[in-house]
Amino acid sequence: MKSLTILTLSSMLLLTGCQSGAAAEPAVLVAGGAEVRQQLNAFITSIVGGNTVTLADDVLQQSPELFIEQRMPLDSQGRPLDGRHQLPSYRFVLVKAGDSCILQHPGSGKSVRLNGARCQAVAR
Amino acid sequence: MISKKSLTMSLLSLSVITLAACGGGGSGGATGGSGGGSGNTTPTAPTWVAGQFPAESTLKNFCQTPRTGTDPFNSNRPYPDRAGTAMHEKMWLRSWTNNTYLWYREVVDRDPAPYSVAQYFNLLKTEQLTDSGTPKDNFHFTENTAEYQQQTQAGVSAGYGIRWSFGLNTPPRELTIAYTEPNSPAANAGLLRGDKLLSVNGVDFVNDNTQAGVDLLNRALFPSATGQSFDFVFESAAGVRKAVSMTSANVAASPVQNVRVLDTFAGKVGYVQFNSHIALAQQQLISAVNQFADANIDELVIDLRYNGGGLLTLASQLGYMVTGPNIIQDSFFERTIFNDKHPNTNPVTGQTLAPVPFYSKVIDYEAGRLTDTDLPSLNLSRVFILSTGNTCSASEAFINGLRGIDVEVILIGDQTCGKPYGFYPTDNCGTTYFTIQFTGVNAKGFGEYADGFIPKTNPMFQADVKGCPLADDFSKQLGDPTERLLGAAVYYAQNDRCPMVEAGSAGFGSLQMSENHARMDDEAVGKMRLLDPRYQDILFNNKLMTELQPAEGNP
Repeated sequence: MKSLTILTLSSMLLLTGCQSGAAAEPAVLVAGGAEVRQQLNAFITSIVGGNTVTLADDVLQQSPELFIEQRMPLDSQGRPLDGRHQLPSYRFVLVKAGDSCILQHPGSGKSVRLNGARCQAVAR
Repeated sequence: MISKKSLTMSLLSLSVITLAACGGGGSGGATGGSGGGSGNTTPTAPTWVAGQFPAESTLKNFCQTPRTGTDPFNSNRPYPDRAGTAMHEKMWLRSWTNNTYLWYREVVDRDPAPYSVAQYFNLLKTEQLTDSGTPKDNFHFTENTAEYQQQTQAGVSAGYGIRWSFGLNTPPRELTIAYTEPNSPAANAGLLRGDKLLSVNGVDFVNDNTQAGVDLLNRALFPSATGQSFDFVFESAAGVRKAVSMTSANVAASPVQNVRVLDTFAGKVGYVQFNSHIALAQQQLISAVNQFADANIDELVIDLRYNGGGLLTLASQLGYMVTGPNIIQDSFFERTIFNDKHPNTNPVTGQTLAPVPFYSKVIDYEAGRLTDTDLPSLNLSRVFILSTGNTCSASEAFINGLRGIDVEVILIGDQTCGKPYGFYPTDNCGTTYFTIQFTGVNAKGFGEYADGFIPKTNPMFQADVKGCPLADDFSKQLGDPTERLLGAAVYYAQNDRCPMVEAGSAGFGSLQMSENHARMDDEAVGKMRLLDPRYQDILFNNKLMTELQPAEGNP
């Protein structure tokens, strides 16, 4: 029962924001393995739905911005089947606040602190 | 119609079967869900009466195999499925088609009884042909809803970061790199545009015709997962062999590449390679346009030869950035046309139909709203577009939208693919159906380019676009001013006509510009058209329309 309570509180913290006294700056990941990817997956799917989201192997390592969209089926020539659409594209931003790497979803105001991640602030 | 099975089970096969890629499509009509029913009593199957179409809402979600559980893409709410019959599903398709299909009058009203659901859906479309003799509706397909709803990082796909150009898919096969993504396994291995695949793990890609060999080639070229390693041998355009080992990865796309300003006799020419209309491209295009504005360019070349479309509003934004308010004035980008049952209202959203403007603001693509941030603009009244048969959908809408406001579009390359249609993918019982529901016309009321836009030195018809018919040039890198299409655009900018081309020449550097040389007319282009996919493949399309709303607080 105790562990259940801790888990619940932890989840609430993850989804209701990670306030920090340090100024948040856009950042890219410089370290973080499977554990970080699991946290990214959990947070992103909590926003966009589904159980899993496909992420690039170098996700958030090249840019602080991350766009998530519906998988685009392709035809046999590699062209999108949905060639003229208006599907939403969810935007996430990685920031560094102090020693913390935080993935923000500006659209909902939610964010998650990525345990075990190291990131580096970048100029906008 | 691409069979989903053919794509997923046998991407590359023996000589009689085509080389395919990437999955998707298909009309197999796989009804999703885990079965089991909803516990409700199955209602009596509806009956077909010729010419009578019950309201689609009375037939929707009655499923022969209802999904159970909750929908992870709908806040884990229960699926809407109820116990029904195959006849319910077919009758819903029939009524939905009669209500929303663009050419519903051309659909034969058959009794659904003898057909499966999937078979019946395949019959619910026009059988007429275009002027060129190809089927009028090539864009009629289904996908399993659970697969269709999967989410991904923008532009990410499993592979090596290679955009392939498919040539012959039976021995002697041809597969050439069109471009590579930065930081991808292919780029890191030193592979370049123009490299042709020769072998994989010792299997002759060009000629092998054994099942084992073909299976290995399929596994290597279309890896089902990341972390799969293969040994490839390529040959460059210069004839240099490259042996590389690559491991498949989830590679992110860079939709905007090779932004540069060329100093030419025609003045400063901006060039940008724009590969995909995805939200990620918005800021990259803004940066490119700012760079062009800072350089005070005289001409602009937008390379859309591999851009199969995507977000329609991004095309309208690019149209604004190329031109600007003084050129656009009070005109619009595109007007949406549904069938004649719905002249004023979108039958899917219920919204009043209004033209898509040239959006002048940055768009929040998550909220579907305009922000308060202005887009830059170049105030150009002429633009060069580089095209191939892979220039599709939103890219074609961009061309059409600019022509609608009398911007001079010079088309350099090959005929575009011809996708002026769109649809609202709609789920019923675990299958998402795609049927053409609307088309788009520009400010001059033109939208009939189902056979594509055709570059012509002397345009005669409305879908003809002034320009130079030229085959793609894999001997040079994209953005290289001696590459055939870009070189021709620069030449045209300087001379107001197409260069004279010696048929069979490679690259612009070897093009002969003397009037004494044979001119590359349409016939010659046809002979050089080695990689035209339109003759090897059936295309699909859709477009969705959701009107954007102004930024909160704005009128």
